[in-house]
Parts: sequence; structure tokens; C-alpha cells
Amino acid sequence: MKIQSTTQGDVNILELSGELDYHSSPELREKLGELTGKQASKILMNLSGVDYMDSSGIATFVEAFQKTKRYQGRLVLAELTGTVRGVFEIAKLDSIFEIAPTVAEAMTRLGTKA
Amino acid sequence: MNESEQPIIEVKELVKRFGDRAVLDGINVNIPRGKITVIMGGSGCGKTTFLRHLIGLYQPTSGDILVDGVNIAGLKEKEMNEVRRKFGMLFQGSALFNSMTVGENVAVPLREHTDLSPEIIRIIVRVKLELVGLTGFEDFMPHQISGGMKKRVALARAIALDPKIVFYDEPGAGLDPITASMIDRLILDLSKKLNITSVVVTHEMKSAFRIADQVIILHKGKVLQVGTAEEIQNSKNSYVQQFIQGESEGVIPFKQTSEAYLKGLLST
Ligand SMILES: Nc1ncnc2c1ncn2[C@@H]1O[C@H](COP(=O)(O)OP(=O)(O)OP(=O)(O)O)[C@@H](O)[C@H]1O
Ligand SMILES: [Mg+2]
Repeated sequence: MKIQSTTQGDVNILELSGELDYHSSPELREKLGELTGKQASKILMNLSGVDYMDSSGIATFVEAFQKTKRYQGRLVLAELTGTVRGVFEIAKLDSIFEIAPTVAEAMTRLGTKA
Repeated sequence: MNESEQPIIEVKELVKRFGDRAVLDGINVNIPRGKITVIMGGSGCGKTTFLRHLIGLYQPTSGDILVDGVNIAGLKEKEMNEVRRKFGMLFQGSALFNSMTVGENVAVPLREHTDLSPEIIRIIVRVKLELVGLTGFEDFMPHQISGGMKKRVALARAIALDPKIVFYDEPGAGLDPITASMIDRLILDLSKKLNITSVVVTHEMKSAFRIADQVIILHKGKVLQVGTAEEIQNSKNSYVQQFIQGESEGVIPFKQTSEAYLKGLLST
């Protein structure tokens, strides 16, 4: 898995590609931990390049989501592939997370122009 | 054939003898990837034995079993363990650790096979327990919950590591209808949404035809017929018809027993 980290305005963007599984999810957890540790107010996950995600991936998002909520930050997930969406649906978490169809849409929701 | 069409398991000329008796007598069959395969057949026809070969618990007397192209017949235990990581298994009898909570039981494979942090494992355990309808039971001990609930805990544990293939031996046996249909629902969900392959041995005809993409009928250690639920229901084979109708009345097992009994008496 590859994680590319950028910022646009006040939005922290993490772009993931490859397989998000129990080998690679600790690395994502560390990255997200850095952001939530400094109370980043807006985090956008671009998941368009994720072709496989297991339960540890979704658990990593859940943990980051809990943390952002605690300080009223926002975590938005964008461009889920079919299999990734399936994992969210089967875990019944697709309605809990803020999920945007495109990165542009996510940026708009976060109040920042792409 | 691209990868998604390639069967996840291919069984070729599988023979298993116990003593001089061939319990599996030349089985040729494929398990399609991402689909639900149901194995049926009269009591003692070799279903459990067949399943145990697929997961490498038994070594065949002869024949091949290819899992993702790897022949597991004759594989060393260490290599077999590598293949088994792809597998989840739900067997008769739930076999929970009685000294551990429900949550700890589900966490066992995650603790053993991954380096995930306790916080992440805790979240995964909760997701899996929700999947089997047991949210809120994390801190219960096995003796505090019903048999059906134990079965569901065992299922949550079986899918803890997100296996590619899940094997079930009579998942609904002895369960209340609600738990049984919940397990059916889950098998369907795993297949449709996550492309997980399921191999299910069952006697429950209704359940079988509801969930199966492919049905395999075993009879006397051989594959009698393979087909969709519809094809099996419309089968022209008289044994298959008799089996489908008899199973609900329990006719076949008795008949089989008496045949075997008579044969046994006459041959001594
Ligand atoms: N380890 C073993 N040693 C000797 N015989 C065995 C062994 N395991 C199974 N058998 C025999 O093989 C035959 C098939 O058994 P198996 O358990 O596979 O049947 P089954 O189709 O699962 O039956 P059921 O529907 O009752 O569960 C039976 O006659 C059984 O006694
Ligand atoms: Mg059996």
C-alpha cells in the first residue's frame, strides 16, 4: 500500500493505493494518528486506488473517526471502490461515515474549493 | 480463463480409503470462486470427510486438491498452515474457550496471526460481533449465552481474519430457526458483498436451495450430480429426487441404514 499525504487549504488529504490489509493498516493508523494527534480539523481520505480492504482497514477508519469526533474534527472518505464499499456495507458502517462520491464533492462538503 | 473465472478449488480424482473401504471414491468437482457451494447427501456418504480434505485436515489416499492452483495433497504442515490462512471454518460443536469472554474468543486469531494493536483488534471484534447479531455480548462468558449464540460467536471468530473461503459443516444443525436463517443471510452477504467463497454441508433442504449457487450431491463416495439449485430440484435422477423428497421426512437415512445393515449381515 502507498500513502500520499498532501494539504489543500485547511484540508489534510491522504491518498491511498494498493491493499489496505492487516499488514499495511498499522502504517495508515500511524499517519492518521499524527493528524488526529494535532487535532487536524478536516481530513479527506481518497480511496480511489484501494483495490482491497480488510477489517483492520475499516477498524483503522473507525478509530480515526472516533478521535476526530472528540475534538469536533471531520473525516470524509471519498471515491470508494466497489469492494471497499462492500466492506463498509457489510460492517453496517456506510451510514456512520461521511462518504463522498468524488474528491471534489468531498472538498465542497468540507467548505474548501478544490 | 482469467483469475475471477478460475475455480478457487479444483478436486481431481480424490480417493480416501479408511482401511479397505473407499469413503471418497474418485471425486471430480470444482468450487467456483466467490460463490456458495452446498454439499448434500445421505448420512455417512462422506460429506464431512470431503470437507476435511478441502481444508487439509485429512490427506487423500490418492488424487489432487488445488487451492488457488496449489496442490494441498501431500503438503507439509508448515505450508498447509500458510494455505489455511485463507480459510475460515465453522464446524459442528462451537469449541469456544470457556475461560475467555466472547470478545476474547473472537480476538484469538487476530492476536495469533497479526501484529494489530489491541485497540484495532477491539474494534474488529465489535464489527464481527455485530455481523452475527451479538453486539453488546463482548464481555459475556460462554456459559452465560445460549447454544445458538455460541455458534454465532464461533462464526464471528471464523471470519475474524477475513478469510477468502469459509467452510461450514451443518451450520444450522440444532439451531433455532432465527439463528439458522441469520447464518444463511450472513453467508449470502459475505458472498455477494465481499466475494467470499462458501462451502456449506447441510441437511436443511430449504436453506440449501435458498443460498446455493452450486449444489453437489454426494452418494456412496461419488459425485452424483452437480448443478444450480434449480437444476437439482428438477433433476431427472431418481436418487436425487428421492433424496430431496426423503430428506424432509428422514426416509433416506433409515433406508440407507437398513440396506447397509442387511448387506453387513449377509456378507458375514
Ligand atoms: N477417521 C475415520 N476412520 C474410519 N472411518 C471413518 C473416519 N471418518 C469417517 N469415517 C467413515 O466414513 C463414512 C463417511 O463419514 P462422514 O462423516 O464423512 O459422513 P457424512 O456424510 O458427513 O455423514 P453425516 O451426514 O452423518 O454427518 C462413514 O461411514 C464414517 O464412519
Ligand atoms: Mg458429517
